[in-house]
Amino acid sequence: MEYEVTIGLEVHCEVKTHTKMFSPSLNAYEEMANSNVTEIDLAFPGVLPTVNYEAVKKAVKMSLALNCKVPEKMYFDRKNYYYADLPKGYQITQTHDPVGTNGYINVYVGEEVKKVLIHDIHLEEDTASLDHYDNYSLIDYNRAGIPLLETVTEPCLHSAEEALAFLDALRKIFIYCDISEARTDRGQMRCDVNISLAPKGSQVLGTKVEMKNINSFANVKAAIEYEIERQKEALNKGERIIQETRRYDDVDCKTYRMREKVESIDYKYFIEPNIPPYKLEKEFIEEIRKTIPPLQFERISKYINEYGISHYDASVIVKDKSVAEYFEKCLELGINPKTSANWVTSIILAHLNKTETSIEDLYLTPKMLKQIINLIEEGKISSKQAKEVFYKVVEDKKGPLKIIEELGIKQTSDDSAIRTIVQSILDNNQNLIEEYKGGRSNVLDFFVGQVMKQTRGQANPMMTSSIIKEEIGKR
Amino acid sequence: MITKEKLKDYAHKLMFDMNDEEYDTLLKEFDVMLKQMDLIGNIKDISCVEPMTFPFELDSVELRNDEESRNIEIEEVLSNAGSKKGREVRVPKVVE
Repeated sequence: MEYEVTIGLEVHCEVKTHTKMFSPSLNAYEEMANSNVTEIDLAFPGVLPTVNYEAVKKAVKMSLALNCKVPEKMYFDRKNYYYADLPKGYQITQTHDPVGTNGYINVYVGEEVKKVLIHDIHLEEDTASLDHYDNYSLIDYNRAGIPLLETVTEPCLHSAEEALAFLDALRKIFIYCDISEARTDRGQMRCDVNISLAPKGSQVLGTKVEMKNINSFANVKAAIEYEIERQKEALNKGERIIQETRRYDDVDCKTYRMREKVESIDYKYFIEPNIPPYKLEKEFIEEIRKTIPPLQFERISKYINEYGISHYDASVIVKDKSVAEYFEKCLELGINPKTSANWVTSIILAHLNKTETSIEDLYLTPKMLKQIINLIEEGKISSKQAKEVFYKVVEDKKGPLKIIEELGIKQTSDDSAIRTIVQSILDNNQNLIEEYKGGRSNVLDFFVGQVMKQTRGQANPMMTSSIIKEEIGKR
Repeated sequence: MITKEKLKDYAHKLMFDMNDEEYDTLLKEFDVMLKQMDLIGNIKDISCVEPMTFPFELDSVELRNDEESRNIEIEEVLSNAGSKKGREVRVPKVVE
């Protein structure tokens, strides 16, 4: 039987702030255990939380970036449960009126556009980290109270590819808006996946299975793919899917039952009485809206539709906001979009990858790139020479014109000078001329190479090639 | 209706246990509490009364600036811990 897969995601992402969500201790949990802790994080009696202004601003920014509705007031709620990583016995989160509801973003799944609906986004605090040993566990409270934004999608995704495309787009928004570094390798972004299968065309969703705390996109993909196959197999055998929570094991790439969800846990939510509501004024929201840069999706669409760049190149350029900004600066200076895209995606990014540097550190400014490209277009240097100039510019940190002068690079477009060299080469290679005439067309490259050698790469290659053809034709 | 079995079930869910005498004491306390709840339950015409979350209708006017940070010394962090190891608090292993 054919099945339709339905997936909903819950994505936790740490917010980049100086201090924690409700306490003034440092938001830096990778340091020595229990070094960034105050009495608030430890829930000592009598202490009260204080709300981090920056975290609220960033939460509103993310809510706006996800096209969500922002409430009039910021409320927090208590989620009550007992576990050793939660010193207060409850987590401060948002449930009845979160910072964003009913949003959406458009994402590219391959070259197709998919609208992903956002159920809500809410601001909360992280728990302490636990390390488990044979018969005891150790608690480090550095992570307790780190601001977290949890984004919850509607069950509107239908494949691992769609889920991945959404996660990637979401991650880029966090980074573009400077809300989080969103590094999965540091556990800054973690994902719960809800997945169900129903017979194709069915109006009712299948039984939902939840997979918790998956820490990399590759694992999200693998877990979804495994779970689809597992559920398909079970359904085909006529088995019932059990509503449960499963864990993905990235060693054997399988999911395992953690617990059956007999009934939903009652967290006894109520409004956090220790934090009075904070009015989110219209002006405050509009000021934040202004700080949202053009996002990945918008940029890709613009590059493709307005500049005629391939989807692939556009996706490569927008991976890093600074690279996209560099590219756009090139266009502002009047460099042809395709030429800019070629330079950025092939030469510049290859150089940055190789040197493990970022584009902010690149000595070659868009203005210098324009100088180089102008020289190519004017026929003064060849594309090959341009690359040489590029590497020399970034290495010596000198402008392209200076480098060209120092290296003595120039392109000869002097017809008679090139013709004289061509003639002498042809005179000495009579046999190759015969081969060329006999159909070995690559002999032409050999002749061009010889001219380049003699002129130390300064002959205009296009011109050289046509002179060689002319001269052979005469013989 | 609160019974000893219910209390035992709750205690186990919260991962602790008590002796019979303690359960009896708790059961008696629940008796008192439930009677008080009944008193509140008898108050009429409350459907139009808003639940009171905050004693005053005041909004936060200022939030904490994300600037200065502070922390407490490790000795203080660990001073109330029943058991510790190195710089961390040690607890019985409870893994879901």
